[in-house]
Amino acid sequence: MPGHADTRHQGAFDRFVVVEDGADYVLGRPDLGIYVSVPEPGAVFVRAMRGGASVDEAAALAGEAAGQDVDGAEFVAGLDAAGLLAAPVDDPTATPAGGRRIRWIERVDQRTAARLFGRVAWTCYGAAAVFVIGAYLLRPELRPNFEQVWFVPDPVLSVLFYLPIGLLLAGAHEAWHWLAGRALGVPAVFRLSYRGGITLVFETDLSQIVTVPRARRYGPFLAGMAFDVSVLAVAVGLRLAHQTGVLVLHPTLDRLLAAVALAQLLQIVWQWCAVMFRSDGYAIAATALGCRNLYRATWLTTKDRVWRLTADEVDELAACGPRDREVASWFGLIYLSGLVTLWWSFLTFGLPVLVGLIQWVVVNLGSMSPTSIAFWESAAVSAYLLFGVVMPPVLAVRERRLRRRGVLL
Amino acid sequence: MTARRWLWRVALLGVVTALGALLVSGTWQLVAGGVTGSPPGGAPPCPLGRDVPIMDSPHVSQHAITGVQYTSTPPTSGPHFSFTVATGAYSSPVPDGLTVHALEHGHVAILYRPDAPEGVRRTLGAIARRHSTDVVLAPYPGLRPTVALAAWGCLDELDATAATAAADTTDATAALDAGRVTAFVEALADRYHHGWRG
Repeated sequence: MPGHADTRHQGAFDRFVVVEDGADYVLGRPDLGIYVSVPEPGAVFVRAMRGGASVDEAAALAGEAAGQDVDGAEFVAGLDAAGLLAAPVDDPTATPAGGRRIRWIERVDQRTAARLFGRVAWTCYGAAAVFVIGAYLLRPELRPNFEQVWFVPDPVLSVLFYLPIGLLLAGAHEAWHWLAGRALGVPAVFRLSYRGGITLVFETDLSQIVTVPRARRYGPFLAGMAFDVSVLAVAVGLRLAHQTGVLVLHPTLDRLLAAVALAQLLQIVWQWCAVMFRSDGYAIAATALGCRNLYRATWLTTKDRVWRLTADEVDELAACGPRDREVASWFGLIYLSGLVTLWWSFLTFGLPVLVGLIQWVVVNLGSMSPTSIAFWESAAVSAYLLFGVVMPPVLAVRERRLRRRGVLL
Repeated sequence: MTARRWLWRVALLGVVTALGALLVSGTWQLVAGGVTGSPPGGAPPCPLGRDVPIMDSPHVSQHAITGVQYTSTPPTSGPHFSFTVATGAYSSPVPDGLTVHALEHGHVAILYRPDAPEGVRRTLGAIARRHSTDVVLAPYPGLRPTVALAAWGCLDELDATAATAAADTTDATAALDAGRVTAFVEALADRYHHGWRG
């Protein structure tokens, strides 16, 4: 029986990676994107199997590390149940997730990518951050405000003109994550997908970063914000040069740069504050705090405090590991402070724009004047909001109801 | 355990209530000004320029604004669009519905005749750059003086000293009382805003 398991799974064990992670080890299959955390004997077992040992031989070695007998067959069954012994996948970056992979970026070799994340590059990113903070502190006129969204005298055109720019910057933010992963030799996926049917979203799958030591993971997590702060510094610097007469920009370009600066600043605020939505800031915090599943541990701890947990959730929280549970006991306050900051930024920058735009749409549609451009702009905005914002949650609720009734599987 | 849970619930409710209260208080004043516009009156006397009676100033559609009769040219209050315009310089005229909303947010509009001399426009451009968060600078067709300075309920008018009479739009030496413009901007910017000023 053990011999049979050896032959059947040997190909799978050849694909395993084993990485020390604090007191434990990460075992995983990069070709499947599945990783688990195990104590040292588990790592010893897998290394032995990878080296061609039988299950019994590997169990004996693991037993030595554990100081007690190890049931090799049971451990193999556990790995199998976790999906780690599935047949090998040829493409190490293939994932079951939707979206279209952007392969041209994958031609960037590791050495080229590494230039963007070397000591000099990080010094430049840091200098950009210091410059922006200094400029905002010393030159209040450069600070952002919500009016900068309307950089042309038409609200719909302002949004339409900014959409491709915003999409480009969001794509570059994600590409910077990907490039930082590439610089470390981590295979990652960069893809473009649709949300709600019409909203384009760039995504980087960096899940395989768990195969590198924690100290080296910060670069890929910080890379997106490094790009954002660089763009912000350029925009603020150009506006400062314009205001001080060093440079004369076209007035529309000056206002566009103000809009870009506002968007980049909000992006950075989001990444640091939206920890409860697993933003880049969450990844950095979880890495620094030595946690593996801080997100779920914090949610479950908070839910337990305020409401109650189901039996499954109690088991899930218990399985989170002592370090995650310990940090989760206070990390809910970080969630809360992030949420308060996001609410403040929404009230200060988002809500005035939203209310202005919605009122504009309502009064123009209500005027029933098809000869005015604003009427048709308002109709277009309404259609966009209907299909892009309202329909996805409506469809999700409908799908949930159908599933509950058993009509939809 | 239950008492502790209730303490957490009360604390959470308190935070949510405090966050919700921000909608109708402080800088934001969602209900007070952000949605409705401004009522007539309500602004203190103008320290510079002349007072202009403040009209009822609701948010209106692009169609409705075509029938509005403002109390001055350019307007300093009155019906306007629900969104505003970013401060800065504009090379084309900005609709009154936007300029008025900018004034309602405490900004100053510097409006000049499209045929204003080059020197005047250059002077105004430099002032707009220096006061980039306070000023909307734009040409205004049909303006009688060379330059009009508008704030909420306040108006001042200036003529260029040299080239206006000759209507020489290329005259880079045409002079304007830049000090008067700057004084108006510094005295009137942020003097009034109906809330929700970013």
